[in-house]
Amino acid sequence: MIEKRYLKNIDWVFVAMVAALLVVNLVILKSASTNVGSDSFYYVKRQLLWIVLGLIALVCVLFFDYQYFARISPLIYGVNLLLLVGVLFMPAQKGAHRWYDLKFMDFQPSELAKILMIICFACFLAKREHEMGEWKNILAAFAFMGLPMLLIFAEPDLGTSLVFVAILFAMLWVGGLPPKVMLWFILIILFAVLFIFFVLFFYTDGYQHLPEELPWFIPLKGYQLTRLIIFINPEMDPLDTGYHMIQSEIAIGSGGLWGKGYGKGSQVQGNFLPEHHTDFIFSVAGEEWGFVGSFFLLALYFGILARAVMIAYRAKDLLGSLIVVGVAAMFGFQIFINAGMTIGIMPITGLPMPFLSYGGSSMLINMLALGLVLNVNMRSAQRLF
Amino acid sequence: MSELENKKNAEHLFRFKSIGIFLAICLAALTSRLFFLQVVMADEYTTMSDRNQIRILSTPARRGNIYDKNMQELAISKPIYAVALISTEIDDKEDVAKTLSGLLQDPEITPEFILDKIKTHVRSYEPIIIKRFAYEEGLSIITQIEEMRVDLPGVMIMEEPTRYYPMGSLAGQVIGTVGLISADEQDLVENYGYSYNDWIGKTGLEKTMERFTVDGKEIGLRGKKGAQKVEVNAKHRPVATRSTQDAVTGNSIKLTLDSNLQRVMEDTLVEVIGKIQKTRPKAQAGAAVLMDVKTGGVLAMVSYPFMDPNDFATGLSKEKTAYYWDENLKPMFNRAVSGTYPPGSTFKMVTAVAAVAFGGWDPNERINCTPSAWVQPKAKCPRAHGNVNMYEALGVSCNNYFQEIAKRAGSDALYQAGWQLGLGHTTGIDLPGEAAGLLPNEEWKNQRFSGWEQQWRLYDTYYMSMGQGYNLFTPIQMANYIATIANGGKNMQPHLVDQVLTEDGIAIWTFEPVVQGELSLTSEQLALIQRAMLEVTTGRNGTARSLFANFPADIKVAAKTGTAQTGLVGDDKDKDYHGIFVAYAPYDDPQIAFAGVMEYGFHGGSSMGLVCKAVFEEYFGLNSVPLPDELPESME
Repeated sequence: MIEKRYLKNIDWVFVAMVAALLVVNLVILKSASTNVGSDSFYYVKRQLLWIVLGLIALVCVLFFDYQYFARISPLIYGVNLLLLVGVLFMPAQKGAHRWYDLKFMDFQPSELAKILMIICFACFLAKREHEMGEWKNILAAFAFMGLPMLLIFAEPDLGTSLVFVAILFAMLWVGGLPPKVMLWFILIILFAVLFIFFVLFFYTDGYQHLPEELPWFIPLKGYQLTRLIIFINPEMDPLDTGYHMIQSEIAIGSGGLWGKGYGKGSQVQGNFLPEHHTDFIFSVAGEEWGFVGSFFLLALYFGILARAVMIAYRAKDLLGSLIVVGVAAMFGFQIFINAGMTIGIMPITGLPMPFLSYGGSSMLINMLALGLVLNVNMRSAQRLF
Repeated sequence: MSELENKKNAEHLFRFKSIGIFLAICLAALTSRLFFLQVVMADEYTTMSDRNQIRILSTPARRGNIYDKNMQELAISKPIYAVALISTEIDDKEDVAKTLSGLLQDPEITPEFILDKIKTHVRSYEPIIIKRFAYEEGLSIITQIEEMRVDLPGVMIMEEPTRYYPMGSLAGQVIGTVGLISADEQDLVENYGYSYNDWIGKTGLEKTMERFTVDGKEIGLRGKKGAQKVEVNAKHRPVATRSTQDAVTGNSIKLTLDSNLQRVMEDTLVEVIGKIQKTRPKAQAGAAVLMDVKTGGVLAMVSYPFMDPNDFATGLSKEKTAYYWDENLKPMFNRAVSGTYPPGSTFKMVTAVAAVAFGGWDPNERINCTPSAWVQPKAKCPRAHGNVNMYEALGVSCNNYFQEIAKRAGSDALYQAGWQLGLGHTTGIDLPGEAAGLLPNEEWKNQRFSGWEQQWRLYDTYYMSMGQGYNLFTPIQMANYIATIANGGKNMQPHLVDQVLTEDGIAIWTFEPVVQGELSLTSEQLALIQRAMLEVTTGRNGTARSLFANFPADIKVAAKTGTAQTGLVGDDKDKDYHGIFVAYAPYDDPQIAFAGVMEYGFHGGSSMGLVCKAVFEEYFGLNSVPLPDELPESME
C-alpha cells in the first residue's frame, strides 16, 4: 500500500513537467482540432476525458509494488503473447490485423504489449544481473523480446515493432550488456539501415521511382519501402505521403522564429497539413509557436526523459531501474521518430507523439507507463551502495 | 564501502550518464534541424506557405462605354447573372450536375456537359460558369436555385458586368463584339494580364479600342482588373481577405459616328435592297460610308446584312449561329472596310486626275465619241456621246473619253493618281481587318502572272481607266478617295474614334486629323475635276441628274455612278453588276463624302444613289422625299 514516505520520494519536478506537458497538449490540441469537427472543443473534451481516465489508471498502478508485477511476469508474458497471436486472426482494418473490436473502442494489443514487455523484460534482465556478458543470456534476451516483436511486425506494424528494438537495447544496456557488445550492435544497426537505403538506391535509380520488384533480402513490405523512398524523395509523391512531409516542413519552416501565433497557422487552419491533430501535431506547435515554442516543447520532453533517467538511476533495485529505462526508451524513441518525421529527418511511420497527439488508447497506455515510473520512483527509498 | 562496490557504482553511473549524453545528442539533432527550417530557411518556407494559402482573385473591371458623336449610348455594361459552381465544394458531382441540369432546362446543358466542364476546369478554386442569363430571363431560375440551396452545394449565382448594345444591330460591325478569350489567344494571357475567363473585344472597335495606348499609356475600354488577395484553405475555399484592390473602370470612347445618320443609312439600305431584290434576287448585301471630308471622321458606316453584337454578349446561341456563319451573307464581315469591289465608273475621277496631274491633259480638250473611235481593244460606249470635254464625259460617263486620256497619260499615271487618292493601300481607319484592295500596275501584273499574261497591255490600261479589270477597293477607300477630291486634295486618315473619355466624361485624348498625303494637282486643276463630278447630277445627260433634284441650290451634289462587272466566277457578265455610287456635298463648300456598294445592285444611281440621297437629306436637314414604289430600271 502507499506509505506516506512514498509521497516524499516522488520526483515532483518530474510530475510538474508532465503536468505542464498535459496542459500544453490541451492548448495545442484546441488550435489543431478546431477545424476538424463541427464542435471546436470536441477533441479537447475527449482528450481531457482520456487524461482523467489515464490519471485514474496511473494512480491504480501506484498501489501495486512493481515487485509484484515482476512476480507475475510469466503470466503477463503469456497473456501478452496470446493477445498478439489472437489479433492476427482478427479481420483486417486498413490492411492490417492490429485491432480487437471491443464495440466501444478498438483495442490495439501492441500498445499494451509495450508496457507489458517492459515489465517482463525488466524481470528477465534483473534475474540475470551481472550475467549479461554471457552470449547465451544475450541470445535468450533477443528471443524473449523478439517473439512478441515478430508478432507485431507480422500484423504488420513496423513502427511499433521498432519501438521494441529501442526498448530492447536501452534495457540491455542498463541491464549490464558489455559496452563492446553494445557498440557492435549499434554498428550492426547502422549498417543494416545503410544497407537498406543502399539497396533501394540501386533498385530505384537513385530514389526516382518505386522498385519494380522487392529486393528479397530486405524483409519489409512494399509500402514500407515506398515510405523509405518517399522519405528520401518526397517530390515523387507530392499528393500523398510526400505531400504530408512537404506540408509539414512548410508548416514548421514558415513558423519562423516566433511562429504565426496561436490559432493562426495557415497550414494547419487551412488544412494544408493533414493529420494535424494526431500524427502531425508537433508541426502545429512549430508553425504557430515558431522555433522558440517548438524548442521549449522539445526541451520539456527531454527534461522529462532526463528526469526519468535520474529516477531510474536512483531506483531501489535493478528491476526498478530497468522498468523506468524501458518506459523512457519507449517515450524517447517515439518522440524522436515523431518529431523527426515532422521536420523531415525521419521517414513517416504511424507513431503518435506521446502526450501530444490526440488519441485515447495511447494516452491511456502512456499514463500507465508513467504510473510505472512513479511506482518505481516512490519506492526508491535511499538505496545504499 | 568496498572497492568492488565503488567500481560497481562507477559503472552504474557510466551507463546512466551515457544515456544522458545520448539524449542530449538526440535533442541537439532535432534542435539543429528545427533551427535550419525555422531560422535559416524561414523565408523560403514562408513563401511556400503563402503560395499554398494566398490566392489572387481578380474582379472584372467594368468596360468603358461607346457613345456616338451626340453622346448616345452605343455600347454599355450592365449586370447579368451567371450560374456557376465551385467544384472543390461539391462531394457528389454527378448528383449536383443532374439536379442543376434539370433546373436549367437547356438541352445543351446536360449532366455530362456540366461534369465535362468540371473536369476540364484548371483552377478549381475559381467558379466555373455553367450558364449566363440576361437579368429578366434568369430571375425565375435564380429564385429556384436559391430555394434549392441545400441540394446544390457549391452552386452559386454570380453577377457579372456584361456588354449591352442599346441600339441593337445599329452599326453592329463597326462597334464589334466581345467574347471569351480563346485558347489561341495565349499571347494575351501571357503578356497583357488576361486570364482564360476574361471577355475581350473580338471584332470592330471593341477590339481596336480594347487596349488603346497613347504614349505608352493604356487608355482603352478594358480598364484594369481589381485584385483581391484572399486566404484559402486546402479545399481552396476562401476563409479571409488580406487586401483588396478595386477594379478601374475602362475609359469610354466617343465616336465621330452619328447614330441618326447611321440609322437613316441602314434603314434606307434595307428598303432599297428589299425593292431591288424583287427583280434581282442576288442583291442581298451592301455597304456604305459617310465621311467628314475635312477631318476624315466617319459619320456613318453600314454593312448589310446586319450583325447585332448583343447576340454575342453572352455567347452565341445555336439558332443564331447558322445566320452568323452563313457562307454567302457573312453578317460578321464588315464590308465597308473588308469587302473589296471593282469601282466601275466611279474610278473615272482617278483617270481624270492621272491625265491632268501626270499627263498634262487639258480638261477642256474634246474627244469625239463615235462608233468609229471605238477601235479594239477599246470598250464601247452604250451610245455615241459626240464631241465631249471632261465635264461632259464624266457627266455621261463616256468610256471612250476616259480610255483615250488614260492611254495618253499611261498606266503609271493611273497608278500614281490612285495611290495618292488613297487607293490600293489601307486607309488606316481604326477598325480591324481592313483590306488593302488592289490598285494594279505593270509591276504587279508582272509578278502576279506568267507567260503571255505577264505583260501589261493597252487593254489593261483601258479597263483600268473605267474601273474594271483588276481594280478592287473597299467602300472606305472609295469614300476617302472622294473626300480627297472634295477637300482640295488632302488625303485624310479616316477614323471613328473622336475622343477617349474618363468614366466621368472628361476627355483625355482627342483625335487630331491626320493628312496622309496630298494630291499633285493645283487647286484650279482639281476644281475642274470637281466640276466634272457636278455634271453628273446637274448636266443635261448626267447619270444622276434627277436624284438630287429636290435639293436647294446652295446644296449642290457632286457625284459619280458606277456599274461594275463583278469579275466573280459564275456571274453573268451581262446581268450581274455591282451598283456603286460616290458623292460629296455641298459642291461649293464640301463637308461630307459618300461611297456605297450594293452587291448585284446593277446600277449605282438607282441603288446606293438612293441611300446617299436619304443620308444627305438627313445631314442637311432637308425634307426627305419617300422612295418611289417602283425603282426606275435605269437612271444612267
